[in-house]
Amino acid sequence: MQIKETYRSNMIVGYTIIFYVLMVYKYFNGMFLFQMHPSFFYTREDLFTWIFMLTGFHKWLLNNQLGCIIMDILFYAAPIIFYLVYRQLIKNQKSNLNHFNIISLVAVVMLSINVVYIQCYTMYPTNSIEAHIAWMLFPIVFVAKDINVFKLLTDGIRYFLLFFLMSAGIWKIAQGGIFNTHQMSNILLVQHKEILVITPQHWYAQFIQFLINTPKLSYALYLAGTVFELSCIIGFFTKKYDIFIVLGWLFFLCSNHFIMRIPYYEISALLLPFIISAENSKTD
Amino acid sequence: MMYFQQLYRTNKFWFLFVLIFALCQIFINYKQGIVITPLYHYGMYSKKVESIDSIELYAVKINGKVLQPFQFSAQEWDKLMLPVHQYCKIEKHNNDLFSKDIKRILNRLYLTADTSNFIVQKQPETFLNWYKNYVSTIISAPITNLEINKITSHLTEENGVIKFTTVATKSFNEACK
Repeated sequence: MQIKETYRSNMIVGYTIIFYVLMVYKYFNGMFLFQMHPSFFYTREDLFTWIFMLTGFHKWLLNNQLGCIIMDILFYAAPIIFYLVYRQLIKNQKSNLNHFNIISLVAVVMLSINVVYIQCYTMYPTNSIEAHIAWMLFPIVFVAKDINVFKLLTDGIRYFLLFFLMSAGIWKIAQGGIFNTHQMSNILLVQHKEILVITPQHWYAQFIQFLINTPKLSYALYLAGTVFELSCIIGFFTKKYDIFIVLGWLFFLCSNHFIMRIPYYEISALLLPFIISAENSKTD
Repeated sequence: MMYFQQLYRTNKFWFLFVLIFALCQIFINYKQGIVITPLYHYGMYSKKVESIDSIELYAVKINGKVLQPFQFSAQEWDKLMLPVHQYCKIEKHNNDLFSKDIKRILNRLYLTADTSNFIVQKQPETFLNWYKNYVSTIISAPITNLEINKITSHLTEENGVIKFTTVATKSFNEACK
């Protein structure tokens, strides 16, 4: 099958839309770097982070409002600049190799900005670095000049999400979480301790109490999540069930927010290779 | 396998790139230790969580009123609580990691680690001053009085229902020693 340039265009548009929807969400929840006012950092067990920390850049941003604003501007402007450069160059002359060199170069710049921003951002008390993986993987895919390579790399991202989910299921077996029938009750207790102690009368606290006091039900939720994660192995062999993986993952993200109060939407861009198909990107 | 064959036929460089990425990702998962960006573990609550008989939490009191989780979105609540949770253990966490792993591994890579880039000296008073301004911007109101207490709550089960009883309260300075 011949892959059309529209496929790449759709993927870039999808990435840009998800990025900016999340940007609005983060802005209104005060999650921009300049809204976080970082004053200390928390080292994680990551060799790349340790090498990055040798630069001292993470310390430069501490109590540095202007530095944080500059980093926010760079991070949040990069996808739209990349999209505009891509659209402009592709509109003028589709097969010009120089144009693709420029697009690749802008993608490399975006990748560098994302890596630096995410390294610092997640070292401050904000969010886990794992949730930001999509912003580090997609710019690598955008570096590819040849459309066939681009298609194969987006397929690679599809496999990555499948691995992500499947490994989460395997970890639960390897580390024994799945064999503990009180696992979810205990997780909920630790996760919602402030809610349970400070506002025990609130309907949500009562709901969580109910789940904690009904370990069979809460364990069933944990088990269902694990079964879903493990069943994603099917995606390695066929794309026929991709729709169920997408729906399952979206349901998982919403449940995670509702039951655990963990907004993990940052990862949702990884769903793009499941949603945008090369077969349907026909018009050039 | 088909995927790798296709990639190999299309572009050798990207084939090698993806192959190395995939192998490293599997290796990192197999080793279960230190990660290397962008290769992480995705355990998602896979470790066995044991039953507990008491829990410790922080209660933040602003102008005499305890902050309540439902006054804020989940993101905002994390933004309020994470700094408090992390700050108290930051010195031990960062310094232990530095002396146990970072120094040793970076030395092995012939890199000299400047301690100031890794180690944090805990200063609860400085933190509390910063936190006061920080919370003030989140709640959009001036703060005349800030109090953070570490509460230990005992768990008891009555007729299958868990009850919480506060058994100890420590001030932030005391808890953060």
